[in-house]
Amino acid sequence: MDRHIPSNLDREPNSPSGWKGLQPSQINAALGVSCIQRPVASLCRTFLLSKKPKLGLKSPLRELLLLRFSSSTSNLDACIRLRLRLRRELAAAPAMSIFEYNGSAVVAMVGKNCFAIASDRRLGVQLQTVATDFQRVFKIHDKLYIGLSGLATDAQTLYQRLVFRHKLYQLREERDMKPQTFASLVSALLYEKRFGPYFCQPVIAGLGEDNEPFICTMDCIGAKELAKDFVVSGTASESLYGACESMYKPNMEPEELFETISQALQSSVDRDCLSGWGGFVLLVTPTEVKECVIKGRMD
Amino acid sequence: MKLDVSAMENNFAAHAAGGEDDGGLFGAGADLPAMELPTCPADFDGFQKETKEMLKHKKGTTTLAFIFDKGVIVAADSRASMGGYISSQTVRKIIEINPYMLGTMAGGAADCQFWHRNLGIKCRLHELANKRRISIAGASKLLANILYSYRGMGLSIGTMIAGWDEKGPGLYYVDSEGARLMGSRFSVGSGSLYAYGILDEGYRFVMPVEEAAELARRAIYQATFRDGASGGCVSVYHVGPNGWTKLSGDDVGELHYKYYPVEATPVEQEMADAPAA
Repeated sequence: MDRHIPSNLDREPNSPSGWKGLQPSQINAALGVSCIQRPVASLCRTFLLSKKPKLGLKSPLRELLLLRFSSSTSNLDACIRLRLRLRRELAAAPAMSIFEYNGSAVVAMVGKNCFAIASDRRLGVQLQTVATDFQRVFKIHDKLYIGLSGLATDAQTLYQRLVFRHKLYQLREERDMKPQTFASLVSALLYEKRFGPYFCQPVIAGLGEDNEPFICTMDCIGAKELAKDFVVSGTASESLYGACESMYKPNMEPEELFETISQALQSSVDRDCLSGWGGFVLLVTPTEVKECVIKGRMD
Repeated sequence: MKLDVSAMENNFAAHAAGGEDDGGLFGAGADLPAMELPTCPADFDGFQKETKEMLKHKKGTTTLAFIFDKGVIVAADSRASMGGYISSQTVRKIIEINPYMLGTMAGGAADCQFWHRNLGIKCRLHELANKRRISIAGASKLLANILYSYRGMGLSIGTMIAGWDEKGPGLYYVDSEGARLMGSRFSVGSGSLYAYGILDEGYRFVMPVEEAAELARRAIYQATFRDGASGGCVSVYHVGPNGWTKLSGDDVGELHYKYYPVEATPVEQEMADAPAA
């Protein structure tokens, strides 16, 4: 099998033009692909000849290339060139999740006959901070709140739909919804859009019958996750888990709960580029609701 | 939550006195090629993964430097981030190459640190060979030539070399694409556009050192506010005829409330009675 590398590859290893003007068979030879399956070879060719190969992190093409080269050690020069090329493509196209487009941090915690829900106040477009008074925690009724992390536009749309559905419920039933019922409603609304979801991860917190606190979160297509202690969501969720895990105690009184959730939120968003810029904390007890805007690092 | 800035303290003390220990500068092969070219190992998958991890460790940054009638001001933030995660708030991004020259770092942390240290070595050797300090133009060209020789191999550096030499203040922008530009003001990094906004607006050639420092501080602060990847502390350095001095290092967490004090509102929290269950 001929594995001769064409000479113009040597001169211009990293420019696309180095691969241009070559016969497919020459490229195949340079890559040592003449023995592998036809589709892989043609994919490699397409990749090398395209000026701006679109290469996501999970691109099957990349997998194929890697597969190919992990077993080919005979053509080291071509390997190195392609590796450098691939590395540049990967560096140029960072993976961005639509959930991280605006940045957010939402957390809810349960105390003794009370609960608290808190969020950050940043609205950004990727790394650019656009507003520092953005509201992510919404009231459904006096003892039921929802925090919507993720894409801001979807959070607002989803909130409007939820308020609409809750108002219809109030008119028909002449009472407020129980938190559990509301969670099912949110879940149903989200699953409706199973194949084109709202890019939101909701956190629901409320006081139910006998002022029993209820918190839950779900993914963007409505898989409920109930918890007895705390729930988190948003871009800072990993550090929120850490902070809550170490700061949370069961059966906290309202004052202590307020302090705990504020500290957990602040220390978490201080480790996240995309959330922070102040916080909003809401503490609900059977008799009163305390809303508070908390100061934080503005960077 | 105050930042622990002990990591940012200056351990390049007693610089102008010339009493520093230069032992490290004469390590083996100071003028040999500093790095071997990569080879392709048998375990290609592992290598690929490793290089990708290395590239991930990029910093969001805001750095700036400008020349004015009393020297050069250099300022930078101190945040290091990996994607959305803030890996440190106390990085020293202004690198003290020698008592008369500073470098700023933006891009890959390791790349910047390594090549600035390497430049420090080369500058010192030049000084010993020629019995005079290297010019800023010369130093920046050394760096630019090195970076050009590695062009296309994945180095990620955007730096400014600022200092004072026989001709007076000097300022150069050098990057890993091979560019080397002389100029009177630069800003580099993800927050540079925000910093330019303040810098261009407030810049004059003739101004007191205090005003120049405040301009730099303000520009970096505004960048940390708008740019998610910049933050931590604002460090400001001044380079004059007698070498550099660090003018200030302010925690942005406090700086914000100094620039925008929050007047105590009588009722910060709203109380609302919930109806009886």
